[in-house]
Amino acid sequence: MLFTIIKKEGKQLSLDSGFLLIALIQPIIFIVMFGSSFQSGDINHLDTIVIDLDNTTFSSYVRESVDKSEFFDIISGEYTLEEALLKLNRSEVRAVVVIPKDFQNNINNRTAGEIIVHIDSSNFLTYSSLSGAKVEIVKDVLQRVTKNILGELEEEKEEGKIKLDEIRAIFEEVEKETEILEGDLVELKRKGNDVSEFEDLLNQINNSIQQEMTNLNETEEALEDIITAINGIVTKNATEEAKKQAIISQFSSLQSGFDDSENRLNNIINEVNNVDISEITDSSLTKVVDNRFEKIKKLFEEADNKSKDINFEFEKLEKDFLSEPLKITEIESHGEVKYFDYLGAGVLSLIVFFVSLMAPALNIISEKEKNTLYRLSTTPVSSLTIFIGKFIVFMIFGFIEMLYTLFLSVFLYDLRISGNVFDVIFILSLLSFSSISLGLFISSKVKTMQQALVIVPVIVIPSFLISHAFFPPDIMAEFMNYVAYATPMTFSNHALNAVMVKGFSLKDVLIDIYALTAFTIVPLILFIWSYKKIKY
Amino acid sequence: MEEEVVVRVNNITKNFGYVTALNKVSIEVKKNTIFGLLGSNGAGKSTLLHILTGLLNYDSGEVYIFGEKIKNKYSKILKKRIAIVPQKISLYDTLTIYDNLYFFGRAYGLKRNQVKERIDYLQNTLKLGNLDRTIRILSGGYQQRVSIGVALIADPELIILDEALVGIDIETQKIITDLLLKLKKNKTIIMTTHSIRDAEKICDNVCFLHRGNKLLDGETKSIIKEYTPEIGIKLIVVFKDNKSAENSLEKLNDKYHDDINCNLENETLTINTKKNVYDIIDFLNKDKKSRRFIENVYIERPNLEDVMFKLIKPE
Repeated sequence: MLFTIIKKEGKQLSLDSGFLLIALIQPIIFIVMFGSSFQSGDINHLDTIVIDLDNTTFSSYVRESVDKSEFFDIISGEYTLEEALLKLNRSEVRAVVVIPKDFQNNINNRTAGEIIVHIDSSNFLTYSSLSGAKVEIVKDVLQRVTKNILGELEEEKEEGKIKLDEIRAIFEEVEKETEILEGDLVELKRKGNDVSEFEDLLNQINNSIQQEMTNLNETEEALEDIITAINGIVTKNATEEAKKQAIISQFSSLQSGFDDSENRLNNIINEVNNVDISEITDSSLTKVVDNRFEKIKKLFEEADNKSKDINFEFEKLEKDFLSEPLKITEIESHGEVKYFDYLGAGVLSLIVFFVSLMAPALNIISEKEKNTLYRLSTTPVSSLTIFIGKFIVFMIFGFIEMLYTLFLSVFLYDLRISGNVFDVIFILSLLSFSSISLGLFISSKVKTMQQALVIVPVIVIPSFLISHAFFPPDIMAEFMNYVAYATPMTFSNHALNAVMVKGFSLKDVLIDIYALTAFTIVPLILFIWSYKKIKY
Repeated sequence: MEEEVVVRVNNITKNFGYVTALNKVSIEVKKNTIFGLLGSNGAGKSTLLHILTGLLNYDSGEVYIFGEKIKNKYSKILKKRIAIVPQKISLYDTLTIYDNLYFFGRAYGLKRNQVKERIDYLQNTLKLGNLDRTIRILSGGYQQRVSIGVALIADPELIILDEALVGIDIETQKIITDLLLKLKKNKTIIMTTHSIRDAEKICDNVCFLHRGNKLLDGETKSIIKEYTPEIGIKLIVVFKDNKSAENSLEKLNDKYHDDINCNLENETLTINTKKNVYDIIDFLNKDKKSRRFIENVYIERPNLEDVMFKLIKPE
């Protein structure tokens, strides 16, 4: 029995040639529309204008970085800021990158060079993509700018090294002095003087020199490490924050090394200051020892000063390293636009389009199937009167349905309407009327309800996909952007987006209004023309 | 006499591709008559009807309705004079009986009060009952009554019915048949039907179509008389049992010999004869043995069915 039912159903289905044809074409349309609408896979290559008000090496880095990025496509031509922003406002370009004057100077002065990126926020998807892309630009420009800064850092490093060498030379001199002093102390001891206190101090001095020499070597190595690490960041070998933190930690240990060194030097200086030579009976040697200690003290004081000096250099180096040379300012063309706000226009269009298309189409096909249309056609009422009557009713129906949908969207989900709500109602009404016309036209070509239920999604779903509501035109195949003009949804979406998101008025979307009017009139004329040929 | 002809079809031909649906068919429908278009499926009835209702164009020939030549569309004035009852129930099934009648009344250009008067009249004539019932809850017979009511709402002069008596209950069939016979006093009616008996009952004139060709047309009674001269009257006698039937058959054969042609099936004896059947009935009545065992007697005259079988020989 089951087999019999399957056989009968299969036979019935296979005999509906219209249905089969649509079922055959439907996947092709869906796949081609979807595939071509989302051809690039990612949202990139968005039209961009770059306005360079600085015209310096660094500003050229920005332009080159933008050009190199896959997210941006710099459009040719010279534009003033006003012209560029006007284009952005109309969504003719998705971004305007402005490099203000003094960009390079600010970087050199470590006061951060600013890049201003104006982004078309009316399209949430392109906006999100570009908002993320700006990070890439900053990184790229930063690397190139840092290379220049690195040159300066190298110079600072070399200066530091010279200063370290100078300190090293002082300590070497101290070593010499201590050797002489040791000889002096041996002589004093031989003459019966108690020099044990001086010997202890001398040992302390020698130990301190050894420590300072080690410290100097470590400092030099740390300096090299820092420069290498910075270079690593520049050459992309180490970009992670952890590496940066490691460098900061190196600076920190250097600082504490310097602090320790300074304490040691100060202690020695104090000790030397406290040396009591009054107990030494040999007055000729007393003077010599005193002079030696005095010289050692001065050398330590000189080393301490040099050390302070080099510490200051390191602090400057650290500051240069840690300062952000770039800052990027993002300006949204139409404020913050939520995804729901962006999709709002498309979803409203979809609901109005679907309902207004479906209702008249099914009504007429139902009348054809029930034969009432035929019967009505045998009365003195003209076909024009019949369909004008139907059109008016569906217009009212579509209008109420549209208001209802709009009401739900605004009051339940706070859909953004920046412009005049009556403009939104007007645009949606036009879309509704054009959908009714299209629905009537379809009804004149379709014979059964089954065919209608298959063909309506074939029109509605691709219309939604290609109407720029879901996929921005920037990522669609070029030919698909032309195909998009075959559906009234493209024009309604454009106009609604302009009014709802950008706050435009009807005069700004006149082309869309004209197109929607044409979409109302043309199918209606075709319908009236083809109605004459309807076969009952 | 020209004014008496409401519909005149002259030599019309209609082809669907290579298939000839109508081949030089001519008919005339006279005023205040019921005209039946007869024929089996594919005979061309529906094609001719669609041409007459202005839905279908024809390739050659001429069609006049109320003297007005039509091609594929009626004029507005003509539409007011003609009403069509389609084969398929063509009503707004979510609306009530009243709504349907009212809507079509207005569509035919009647004023509100005129429509209401006509609805009252049709409610009584067609026994429509409660007019507030929606069409979808009505039985097929009721729906057909409403469908005819819709056709009659504007009191048309010409009514075209496409298989209006098919698939309805006996009560509705009788109501419609009686109504049509009543209506023909001041209206002209064209109907297609498969039921030859219905046509014979109510049609004044008939036209036989077969595979797009007109086989014959004319007055119903004349056609039967003309085309069945060799067929006598059929007398059917039902006995109480087979034995008594056999006895009576023997007596009848003895009496009438070759004047009768008898056929006995169980207890039913069928007698074909050109003689006066009442003489035969008298004969059986006078024979006590026969009379006691007779249960019923029917007389059947030659009918359109016989004509049709004669014209269209089974293949």
